[in-house]
Amino acid sequence: MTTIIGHHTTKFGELWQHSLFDLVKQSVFGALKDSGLGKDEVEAIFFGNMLGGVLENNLHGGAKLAEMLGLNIPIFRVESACASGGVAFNLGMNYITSSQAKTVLVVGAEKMTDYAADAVISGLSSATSGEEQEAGLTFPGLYAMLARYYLEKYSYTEKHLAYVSVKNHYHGLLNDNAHFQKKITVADVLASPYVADPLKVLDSSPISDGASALIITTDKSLIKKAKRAVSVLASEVATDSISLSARKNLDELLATRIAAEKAFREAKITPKDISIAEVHDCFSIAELLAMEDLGFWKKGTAGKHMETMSTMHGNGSDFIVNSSGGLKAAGHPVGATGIKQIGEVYLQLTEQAGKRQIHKPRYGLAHNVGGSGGTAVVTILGN
Amino acid sequence: MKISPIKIWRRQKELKHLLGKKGKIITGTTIYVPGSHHSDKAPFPVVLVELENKHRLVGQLTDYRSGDLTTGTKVIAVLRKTRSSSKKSVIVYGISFRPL
Amino acid sequence: MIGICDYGFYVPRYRISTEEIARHWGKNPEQILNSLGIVEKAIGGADEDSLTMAYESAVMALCDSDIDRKQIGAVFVGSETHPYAVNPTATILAEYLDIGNDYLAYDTQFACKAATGAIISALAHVKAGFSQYVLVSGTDKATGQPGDALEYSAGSAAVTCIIGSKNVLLEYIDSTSFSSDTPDFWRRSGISHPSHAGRFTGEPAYFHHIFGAVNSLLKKTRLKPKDFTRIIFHMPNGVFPVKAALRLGFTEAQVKESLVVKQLGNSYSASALMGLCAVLEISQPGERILLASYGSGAGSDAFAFKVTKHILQKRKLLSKLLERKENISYDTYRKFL
Repeated sequence: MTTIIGHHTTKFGELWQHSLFDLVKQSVFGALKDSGLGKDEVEAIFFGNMLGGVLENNLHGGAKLAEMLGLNIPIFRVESACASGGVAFNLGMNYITSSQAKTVLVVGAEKMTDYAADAVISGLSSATSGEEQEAGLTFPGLYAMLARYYLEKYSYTEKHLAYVSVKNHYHGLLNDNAHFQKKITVADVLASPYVADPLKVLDSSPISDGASALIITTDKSLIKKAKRAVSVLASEVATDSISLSARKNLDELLATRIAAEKAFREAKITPKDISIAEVHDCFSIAELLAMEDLGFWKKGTAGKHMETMSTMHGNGSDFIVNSSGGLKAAGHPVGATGIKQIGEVYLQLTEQAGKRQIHKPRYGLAHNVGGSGGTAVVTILGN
Repeated sequence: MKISPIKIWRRQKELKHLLGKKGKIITGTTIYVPGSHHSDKAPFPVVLVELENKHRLVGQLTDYRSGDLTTGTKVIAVLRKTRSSSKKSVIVYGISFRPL
Repeated sequence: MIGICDYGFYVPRYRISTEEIARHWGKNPEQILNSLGIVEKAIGGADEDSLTMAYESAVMALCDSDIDRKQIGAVFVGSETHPYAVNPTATILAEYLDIGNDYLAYDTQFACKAATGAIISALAHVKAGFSQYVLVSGTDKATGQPGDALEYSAGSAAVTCIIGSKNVLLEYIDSTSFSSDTPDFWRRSGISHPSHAGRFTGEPAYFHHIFGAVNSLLKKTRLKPKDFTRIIFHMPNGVFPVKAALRLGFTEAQVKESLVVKQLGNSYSASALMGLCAVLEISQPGERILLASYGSGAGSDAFAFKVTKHILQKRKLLSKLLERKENISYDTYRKFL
């Protein structure tokens, strides 16, 4: 069984002092330290990053990493928009399963704050179809259309979206690495200006820098030696049309549903077994859809469930969602998010989550989405 | 990123056939924070339309009154400028939707 | 018989009133309303330009027509706000109209008479047997320098005429052109707004050339002012066309119905043609119409037309389109330019 034996996430936020590869370096060496490995014990690296080419003309990340680490091993740059991290992890897993290597490092990173906001927004739009870009649809615009459709279909209001941000900001307070450590209220969310209606500034994840790395292995002696180890029970990827106009249903992300079904089947557990889930809340509506598409809540009921704040830490529940603060409060350095999510589940399952630790979690799930749902990755960890 | 005139030329051949087609709004939004190719237009409405032949596509709403940006509004595809181009680049014409 | 076989027009939905512009500049709207005779003008939205408006007007011209588009042998677009300085509007228009590739295309510019000059060429083209049909569009999204007098009048619109010899609804009787080198209004390359010579644009420019062309036409055709049911003169404002009519021996009644400028402003290359569309809405077979355009720089094209029975099936209602209107503020207006 492939096992995670080390993890490191940098602080997420506006990290003016650090370049993309400074952050990659930090997380790589941090994960090596955490796992007690030397860099020569890594046999391959998978590097998730979305905007290196689009924003700063930096591609060929494999060779860049080779230079930085002084290695000649196989290194692969992986891109699937915001699912770059999750997909990099999936490819790393499959690399091991197909016996190409026993020990693989997966790192995801993004540098977004070196550029003007409209350049970043356009860069992120590269995850949308040409037609959507032509129409001026930004990322928030696409999720806003999904939000409007969902709110209208199930008779909810913008308030039902606000609960997501309130919960995740509360969790951010408990996470020293989070981009935002600031409590907000439903009123704050509703008063924030529109980005693309009905989504407002406080419904939207921020532009952040950051990196996150994990070390996975099937090497029995390394697993035995490891101070903290968690098994990867499943890692599944599914895709769907890049364009919203080609989707079968607008009130779900089909790719999430398919990846989740495959992952639960592979892990031989059900949604009820999950104690901690890191889901892809790039916008508040995304968490509502995720909770339904992953099978936690029935279709159309997420709005009602969110009102009860049942998935918030400290409310006596045994099922917490986005304890890291999610994308909203922890931040969303695009390529890093997928890895950080799996890392958060790892920290929870190894009792390292500090103030946000939940009580004896057995199984955890990480859910990473690319674009408006064109790619979804579901990873299940457990002991 | 500069817009390629060749891509515009190819696109024009596809768009020609959509002009004058009718449909209805499935969902939509108003963009308040645009990307670089639409920076001087915000806020502007974008809609997902289903044409009479069931084909779906997105486009900006144009020539509308407030209240037209609602699910179910009937629209027709018209020719409009769709992106802001720089002073030197080729002008991008495309499909926008006008409420009927 | 040759003449206009089909026609179409387009006016954007948005209007800005003289009162709103005057208020912005702290001027007295009463005074300006009286001197210009313009209540409000039409302005294209931010996503519209001369090409998109010409397209809309051409679609109307072709929509209920029995013309096979592939028989259009030439496309001429007249404007002083062509989208490109170098790159023909005519071929972009023809491409979106799906005319094929077997046509002659060129753009013209001659201030407000860019399209009527092309109409004369189109008539000759058809008469000489070069093409079965010629499509001519006059289109402008005109702007004035902020704070300048032209700001009250410079408007947006487009008109398309299809010239041919089959089922003609407006028969061409004759035309004259009167041209000279007169610097009353101009725009240099690369400069965004036109300049003008103030009151010089009146007597020595507008009136002199319209009188030249119309008097020539009357002499040539041996027709008298009373032989025309209605007349249309280019409309830089609501006052000049009436003055010109009276001085030439026409009556206010003859020119009254053409004065779209009061509600739409001066749409430059589409101005006189828009007046023609208003007149065609109420014309009857057998009536004679006189149209005289004016383009700064300067020149005038004067036409004598006769309405045929085909107007009864092919009439298009401008008044209906004009019902679709929405007034905007000065700030919104500037965003649209």
